[in-house]
Amino acid sequence: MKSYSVIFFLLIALMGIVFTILLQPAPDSISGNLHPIFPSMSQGGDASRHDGFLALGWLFGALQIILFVVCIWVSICGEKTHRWVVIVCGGAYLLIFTMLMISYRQGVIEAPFILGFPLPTTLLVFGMWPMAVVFSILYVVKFRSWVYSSHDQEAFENLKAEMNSKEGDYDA
Amino acid sequence: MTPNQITLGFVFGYMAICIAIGLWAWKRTTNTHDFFMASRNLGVVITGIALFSSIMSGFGFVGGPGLVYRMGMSSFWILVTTPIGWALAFFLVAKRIRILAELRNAISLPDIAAARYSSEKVRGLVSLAILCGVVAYLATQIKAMAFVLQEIFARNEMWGHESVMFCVAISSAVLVFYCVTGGIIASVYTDLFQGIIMMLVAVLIFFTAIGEIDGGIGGMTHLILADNAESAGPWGTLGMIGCLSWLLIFTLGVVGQPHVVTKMMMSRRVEDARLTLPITLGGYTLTALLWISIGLLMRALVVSGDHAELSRADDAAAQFLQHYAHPVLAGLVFAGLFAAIMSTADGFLNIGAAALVHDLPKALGFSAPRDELFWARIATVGLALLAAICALTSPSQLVGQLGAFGWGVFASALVPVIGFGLNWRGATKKAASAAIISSLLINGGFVVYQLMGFKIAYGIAGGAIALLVSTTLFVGLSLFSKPDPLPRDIEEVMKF
Repeated sequence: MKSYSVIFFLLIALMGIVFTILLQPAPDSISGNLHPIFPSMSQGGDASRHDGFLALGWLFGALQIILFVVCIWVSICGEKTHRWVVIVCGGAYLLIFTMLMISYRQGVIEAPFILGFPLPTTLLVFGMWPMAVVFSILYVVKFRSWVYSSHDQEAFENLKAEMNSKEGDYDA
Repeated sequence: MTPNQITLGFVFGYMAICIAIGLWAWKRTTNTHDFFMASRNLGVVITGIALFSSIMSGFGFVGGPGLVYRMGMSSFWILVTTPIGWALAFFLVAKRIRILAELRNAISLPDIAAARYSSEKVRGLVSLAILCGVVAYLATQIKAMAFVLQEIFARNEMWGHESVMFCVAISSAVLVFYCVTGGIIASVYTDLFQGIIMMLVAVLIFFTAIGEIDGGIGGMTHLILADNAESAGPWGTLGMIGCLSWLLIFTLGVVGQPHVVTKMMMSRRVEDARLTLPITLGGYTLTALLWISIGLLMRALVVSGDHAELSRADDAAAQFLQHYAHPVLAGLVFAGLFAAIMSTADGFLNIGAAALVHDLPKALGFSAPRDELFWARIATVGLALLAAICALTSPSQLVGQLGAFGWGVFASALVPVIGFGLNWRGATKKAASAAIISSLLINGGFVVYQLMGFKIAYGIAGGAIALLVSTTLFVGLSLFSKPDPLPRDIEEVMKF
């Protein structure tokens, strides 16, 4: 129950942010303009298009990341040992996103090139992308304690046997 | 042999293999359980590959490189966030949906929804959402297939320019053939074959593309940055708010894709989910290499003046193949393109047929038809025809909107109802109905709004707004109302 109250709060906050953004007049080129030479592609203007939106943007992304982590949290059943690992991984995800925002604020042109991209983009590609691997490793490694324990399996087998004895009553 | 003949040979060879798989699966499809659920007997590898190839559609192979070409790094957000969505989908859905499928002998997602909420109304609404999304999405896939085939024919002297209708007919015929004969068994085994082709071509294309410019990916990014720094930044040209709306719709959205979560019901054992996730994730990540490399290369070449401007952004992949790929590789990629499109479309046809034949009659108070398998096959043909008519008669602007509508409807209707509903005992049937109705209304409203020539400010995805509203309604209504009584088996499953 408490977890879903948190989810509700997060959703309301996210809606609030979206509507706050939508109520403000959109600055020029905030979502790109046609490229002046090549009209089949767009251009993004300069970084000043995001002036005044960086804090809202960070909050929009950060609340989403918290929402995803809470969703994983509520799905974990059975033995709940070491659930703090989910919080740590979620914290790392949030930290990488925050570093992306900070490095973007410092400028894409000035940023060092690392692994083929300017730093803020590197953080997106080589920081945020691998977080999916981290959560997947958690799923694989903790499967038997968080997702489907031997106790769950036994309970499922018993339930199946009980349902089979009343076959027909429960068919979809 | 000319390069175009090689391409044509690969494509026809690919189609022949799909037809052969359809015939092979026909013998193994004797009832609706086989047709819709593959008898719940899929192994880890086949489920894992079928899952990722269901999501990496024609959009991924044609639209994806086109998006990078048009918007710079913006569409990286789709690639970066979808894998987190995979993890979420497995955490939230994989176990319980598989358990319920077995306990209730379910053959469709609406079966699961009806069992969870003890409500035929919810079954009907889930079926309606699936049908709306399926027709919309299928239309875009069929049009994509036709465009690819038309492009191949146009380059071949023997065939020349063929009409879109002819190309729709040929490509849909192959798709419908294996879907009708072999149902989901043919679908998942062609997905396996298609997924392997997609992974192979993506890796080959990646290395071909990075070899075209000195410095590889870094060289491409330098050229893009020199033209416009924001294009090479993390938000691309779409901007921060638009990209962050993609973070929402493409992370949570995966949880609500019915052609994906339905396949989670088909695995042999509940515990197979454990190893299925890494396979799915690995396959998706490998195929994403094609999206990134072609898009970056074509944008870099055009802005640096080394390649003529493309007439349309979606030509990025085709132009790359024509000018920079070895003919054999180009042939393989064109086959891969069909693979990507068909592997998504076949799943839609199957879940749409189940909604039409199995679920809507039940929701309306009728029993399922006596010869359900026969009618499922008829429904598959009917749905494909309807989607083909939509694809042929809709203006191209609408086809693009329909794809976004499909993903948006699935995400906003099914994330709360299935993703949260399977984990939360307190979720109510009234909340489920409200979420689905709001999802259909908001997504439909955005299609009309955009067809009237308006744009959602800041590049925010309409589906993200619909997802936020429907999920908030669902959670809020459930929190502030008395929980529905649940059947004992559902009550037990919610404790697992």
